[in-house]
Amino acid sequence: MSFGLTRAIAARDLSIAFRAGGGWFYALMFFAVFAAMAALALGPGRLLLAPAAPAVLWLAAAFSTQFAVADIFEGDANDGFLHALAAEEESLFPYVLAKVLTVMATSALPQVVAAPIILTMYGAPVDAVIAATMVFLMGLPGIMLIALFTAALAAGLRAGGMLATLIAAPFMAPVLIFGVSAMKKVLNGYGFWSPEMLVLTALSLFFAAVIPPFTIFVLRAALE
Amino acid sequence: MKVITQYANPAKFEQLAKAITPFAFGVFAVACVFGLVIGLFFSPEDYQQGNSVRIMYVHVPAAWMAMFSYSFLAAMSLIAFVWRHNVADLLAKEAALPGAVFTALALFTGAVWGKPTWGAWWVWDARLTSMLVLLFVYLGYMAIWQAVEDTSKAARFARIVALIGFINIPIIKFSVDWWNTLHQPASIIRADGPTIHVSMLMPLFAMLIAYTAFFVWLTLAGVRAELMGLRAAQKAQRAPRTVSVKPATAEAPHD
Repeated sequence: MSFGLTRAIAARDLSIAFRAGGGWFYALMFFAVFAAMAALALGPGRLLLAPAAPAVLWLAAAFSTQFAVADIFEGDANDGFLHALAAEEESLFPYVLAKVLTVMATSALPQVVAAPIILTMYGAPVDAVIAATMVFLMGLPGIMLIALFTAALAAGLRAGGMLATLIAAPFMAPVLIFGVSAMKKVLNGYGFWSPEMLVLTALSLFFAAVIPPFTIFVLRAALE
Repeated sequence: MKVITQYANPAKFEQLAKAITPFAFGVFAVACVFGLVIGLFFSPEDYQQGNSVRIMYVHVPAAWMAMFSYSFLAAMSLIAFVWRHNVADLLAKEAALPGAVFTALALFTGAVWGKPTWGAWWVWDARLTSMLVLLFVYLGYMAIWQAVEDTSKAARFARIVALIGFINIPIIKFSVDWWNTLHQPASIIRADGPTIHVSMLMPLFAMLIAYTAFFVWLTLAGVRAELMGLRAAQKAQRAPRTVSVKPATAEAPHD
């Protein structure tokens, strides 16, 4: 396996994403817009907003990641790049790894930077905001990897984007449940390493182990 | 291993399915009538729940079968994944609809039972929620088969989705249990024996047998229909092209 390939593909994808019109900020914008819409729907009262902050943050992350990742394999599958790669390379793992890195840089990282701002705007206690953001950082890989797997499915389907979201939703449920409850524990001052936090971390590690091979299987099936 | 590989032959499998299907239907009909009659008319009322306990005879087997069907679907997907077994693909595909219907039935009967007992049609209790999520998993799996035109490609996608779903379902169950629980604990499979009286247990088991036979019947009938469809398509392909040659009307007989 050559990780030079990983570096080359990640560099290409990032330079495409960050050039003018590349749209790297779409995920971040969706994240912010979702949080604002949720606040509009819930009303301006602090009594309702502050307890809802973790739920809104995780939902925003789930949807914005899902939408940001939805067409990540489409270009490579359509122009034949992925076919050539699959024929040439022993393993598609370096390629999938490059995609993970790209998603981290263009979707996950901006969300992690924006999370403390949104939490503060929702009236979360300021001294717990950084710890809550760390919870967010630990749970985000799970969401990202599930979205990546369903994006690989979408690459082989007509109108795959919506279906990818439908398939991803039930699998994201555990991350959502433990992410929200771990963040609530932190915001209410019960300490960082709650049992929920440990499970959330375990989920991220579990998905990191399980998702890449399944994604590669699906990509190879999509190429046929 | 040999059992698995020999039934990869559709003709061989069809023989087996043809033999089992009427038998499964017979078991279903007998057990269903017996279970419903005993359960609905001759079993005692519950001392707390009254007559609404009878929903149990429809609800509990449905919930069991919802989970059994998914396990079956996942096992077939694993077989298909390992051996590239086309019949196993079809079995998994055809098991999805009955499984989804069992899940929906369990949710519906649960809601009907919940109204008089808990005072609400729906509560976000752990078991209800995880059954709802299971329904979504079923629907996602079925959507894969619908969305991909090429059958062999659809099969490869569907196998992987089924397997990843199978890994995730215990995790979802665990997390939803953590999230909330209100549902009564299991009262049939327990270390100290069942807590339900035999007069209620008998119709319950009859219904469980009926549901299982119904599942077998429906799944096998579905696979047989699929195989027949495949054969018809192949036959149409192999058939000599019959081009209708009409005598040109311009060439009218001379004489």
